[in-house]
Amino acid sequence: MLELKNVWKSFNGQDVLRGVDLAVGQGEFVSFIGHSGCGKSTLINAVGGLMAIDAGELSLDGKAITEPGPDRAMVFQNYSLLPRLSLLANVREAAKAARPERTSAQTDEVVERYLNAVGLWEHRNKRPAQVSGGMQQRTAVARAFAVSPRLLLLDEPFGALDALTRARLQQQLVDLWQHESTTETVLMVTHGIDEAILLADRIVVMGNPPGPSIIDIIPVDLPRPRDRASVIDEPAFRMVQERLMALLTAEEPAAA
Amino acid sequence: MTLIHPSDTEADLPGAGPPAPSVAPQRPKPPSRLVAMGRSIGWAAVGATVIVLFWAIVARSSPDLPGPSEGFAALRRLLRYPFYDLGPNDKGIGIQLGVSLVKVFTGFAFAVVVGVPLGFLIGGSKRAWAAVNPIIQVLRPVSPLAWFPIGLVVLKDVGNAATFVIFITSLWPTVLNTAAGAASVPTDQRNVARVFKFGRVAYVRHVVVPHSLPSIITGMRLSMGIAWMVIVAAEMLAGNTGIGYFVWNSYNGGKLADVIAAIVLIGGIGVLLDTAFLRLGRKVAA
Repeated sequence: MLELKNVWKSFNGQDVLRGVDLAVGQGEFVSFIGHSGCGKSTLINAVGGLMAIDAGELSLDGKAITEPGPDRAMVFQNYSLLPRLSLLANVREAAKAARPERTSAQTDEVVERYLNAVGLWEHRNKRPAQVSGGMQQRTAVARAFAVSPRLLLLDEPFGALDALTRARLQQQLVDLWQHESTTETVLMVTHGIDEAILLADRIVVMGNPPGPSIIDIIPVDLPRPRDRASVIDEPAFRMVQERLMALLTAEEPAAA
Repeated sequence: MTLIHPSDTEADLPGAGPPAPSVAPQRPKPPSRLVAMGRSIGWAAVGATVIVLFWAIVARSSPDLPGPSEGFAALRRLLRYPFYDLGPNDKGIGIQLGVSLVKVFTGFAFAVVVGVPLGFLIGGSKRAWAAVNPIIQVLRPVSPLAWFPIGLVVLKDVGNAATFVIFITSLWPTVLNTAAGAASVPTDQRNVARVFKFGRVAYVRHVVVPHSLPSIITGMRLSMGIAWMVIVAAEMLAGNTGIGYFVWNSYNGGKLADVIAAIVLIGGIGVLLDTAFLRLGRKVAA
């Protein structure tokens, strides 16, 4: 269980995280939504251990988070593959580094499983620049799962992709999370309202200063598996959608 | 499968039967590479002709300066037997250039072996940078030739002292360019290494080295260019062997035409060295 208690973080005198209280249970899929600069990426990075918080408590299963660890893997917005390594080497080197206790046969098995799962095994020897953005991000997803993290952190993972590719990757992500992996909990930062509702169990809505960071937490009561085509007609979907719209419109920065 | 001659295909396309007089649109042809190359060679020839004419005019009014015909005659004579060896004071120009190249590559190799790891160190650590950078900034503007006496005292051999001068010459650009490359690893890649717990070796091998490689090659190319300039002066000081010694010896023997021929050859080899590193850089960037 992931716990944040009164977490504060500022950059250049700007309070980006303002007293964040949040508990995420095992097996939950939580989306974070809000305007640019609301601190949602900062929150994800703090959970990932990439940056220290100024004040408050941040813990996973009772242990304070101070640095990155193999129990948490991240997928970044801009793919962030190492450009001179093949797709296979990108996944394998990360899996090897994060899970040194595995034998190389185990590592190879895991790497092959997830590259297959995202449909890239045939392209494994290509470099990132030789494949499309969608394929790069699928590699990044495979890389994250290959570490077998308990907690998966996604920072606007599909933001740079076209709508069709995004839809396919969302489906792949949910399938991997539910059926193919030991990963239990997912935190995802997103700009997309529909994406947030389609994937998440709960949606954390974040706002701009000077108010509190979290302005609302909306549960999504839709049974899984969710079918992309029919789910948008469900009343529950509509309700969440309208509430999100209202919150985000009210929060819209005046200058924009 | 039947092979169709390219000129037949149009007639085989539906709707493009024999009676149709319609003409397929023709893409305008870009000028061929051969033409472009010929053009640049032509302009280079124009430039060279102007310089040679200028040289001929200056030589006519200054009787001590050999003219173009003497210069080219000397070049031809030197290149006829480039590798003859008649004792320590009389060797072919090929041997002299070879000796200089060996010194340059030796000093350069030592500079790479020392400079690249040092560059990684100061590029990756702010403390190492703060410790080393002021020293480099003080030493870098010093003419490498000032190190010649120190090399001579420590290494007790003029040839090795010249090699030491080349080492110093090549060191600064190699260190600084490597450091610049190592310091500019994108945050994304650094974050990937942190999130996936890359060890020091994996981080250097998979992130720092690949990212810095282009700037390392640039540093090597700059080093080699300066080293090839400095070797001539270093060998004039050393007065032993090598192309610098050849130039100085020719001047003392009153053979100014040989000096001019040597200048042309030194320049030519400089271009070859530079091109080689440019190619290497492109290959690495690909």
